[in-house]
Amino acid sequence: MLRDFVNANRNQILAQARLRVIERSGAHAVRQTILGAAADEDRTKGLPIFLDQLGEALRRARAHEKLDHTEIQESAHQHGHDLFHHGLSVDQVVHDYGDLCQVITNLAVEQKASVDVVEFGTLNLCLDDAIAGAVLAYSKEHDRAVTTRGAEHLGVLAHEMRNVLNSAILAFGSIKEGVVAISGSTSAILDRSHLRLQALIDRSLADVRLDVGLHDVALIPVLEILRDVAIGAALVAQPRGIHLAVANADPTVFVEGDRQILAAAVANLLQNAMKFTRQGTTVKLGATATETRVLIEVEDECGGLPPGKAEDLFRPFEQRGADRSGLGLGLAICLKAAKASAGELHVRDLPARGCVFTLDLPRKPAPPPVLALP
Amino acid sequence: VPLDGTTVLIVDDDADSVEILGYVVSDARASVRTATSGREALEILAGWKPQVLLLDVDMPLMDGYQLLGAIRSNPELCDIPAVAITGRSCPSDKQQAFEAGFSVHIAKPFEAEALIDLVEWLASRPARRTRGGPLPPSSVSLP
Repeated sequence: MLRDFVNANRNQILAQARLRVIERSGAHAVRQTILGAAADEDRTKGLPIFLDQLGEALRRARAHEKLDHTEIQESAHQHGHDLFHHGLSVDQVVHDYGDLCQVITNLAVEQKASVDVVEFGTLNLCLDDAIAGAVLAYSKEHDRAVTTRGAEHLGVLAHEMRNVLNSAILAFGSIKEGVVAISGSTSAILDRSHLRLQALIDRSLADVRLDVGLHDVALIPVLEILRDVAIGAALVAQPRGIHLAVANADPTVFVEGDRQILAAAVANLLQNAMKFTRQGTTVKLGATATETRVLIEVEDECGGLPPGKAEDLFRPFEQRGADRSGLGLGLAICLKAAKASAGELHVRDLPARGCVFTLDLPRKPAPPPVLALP
Repeated sequence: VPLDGTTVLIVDDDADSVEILGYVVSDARASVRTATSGREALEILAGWKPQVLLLDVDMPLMDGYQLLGAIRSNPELCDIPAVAITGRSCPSDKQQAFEAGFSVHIAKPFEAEALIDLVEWLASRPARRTRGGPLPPSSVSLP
């Protein structure tokens, strides 16, 4: 009987299920899944619980009692919830149960254990219940996380727009009173505020397009990306006493991607550099290319990165040297933009001087010239 | 001239924000000094005591709460009324500002007149806030 077989081979089933996960997902997944990380009680509790519930279901089926689907679904619900928070994908959640089913059936065949049709049907019913419960919980948690993230991003956008809007309102108020010259520094603040509002909108649209995978992919000369962002950046740099140095880029160097998204990514790197570079210092923007790669680099003189993992800077709401929430979406969006363009984002510390952010993209061949016909 | 002779320190990491706030308050005849970081503000306060502090809350390295904490820890400066200027307007943001020791929370965007009224009101109060004083400007949050 399957129930006796599962009870007698419990440890072997658990061990083999773990091995299957290793084969399927690699060592990294083992650390991430309930089946592998023996040290992590929270991740390992799901499998033995399911085996117990399966045993009880088989007993009831044999005794012609009604199966309790709720119990399996509820514990699987908790399991799916936990797996989402351990960073597993939904296919891993499903495959974990699939692995368990495979192990039980393979082992039963190996040992020539007799499993009748009713027992096999009960095993499948239990697996269905468990997968449905786990996936439902996983999906709910995923949806909740997406909603929360959206609300956080909206909050940040509103906060940043209010800051810039405030400068614009005060500047316009002064101009309206007629006490300042239309070509003076107050008007320049209004000008810059408009540009910053535009940049915020561009960044938010780029973020949304990245999230929904809406990319208008084309071959773009790197020179044009630098030009697109340099004009606005120069206006922001000047009143802060920051020198923006834009290096000449090779006009024959091309990358492939969404122009708006890539421009927003570089603009964010520049904005980040100008926020943290010391007053009176230089922010450099340039691009170099090898046969296969294009490196768009933004260097600032912030004094060097604070201790800690450089990658943490790319997490949403993370800021250099300041543990506070609500800001710092720019670099996270740059990272998403880099990945969406088959590239990477790196940061290099220049101790006691500053740092260099590099958008590393695949180089693409220049398109053939368009011939003008007579 | 509402702020004639009133001394105000403005701290904001955003260059445009600090410039336009400085312009608005100076235009009302206040004597203004500005800083773009908490450290710079503390250097100024080491040799100068303003009547009112206008502090941005969201600044890198040392935010407005930390800066006010540092200011309040100095017995010479602990009685200066401080305004939290921020783009955050949730009740929890206001509560956090008051718990950090700010006298007033003002959410962006606001009109110049509201800021000038507020600075005038704060500068005219006794050194420590007491109940039963003059009514505050209507566009700001008080504890």
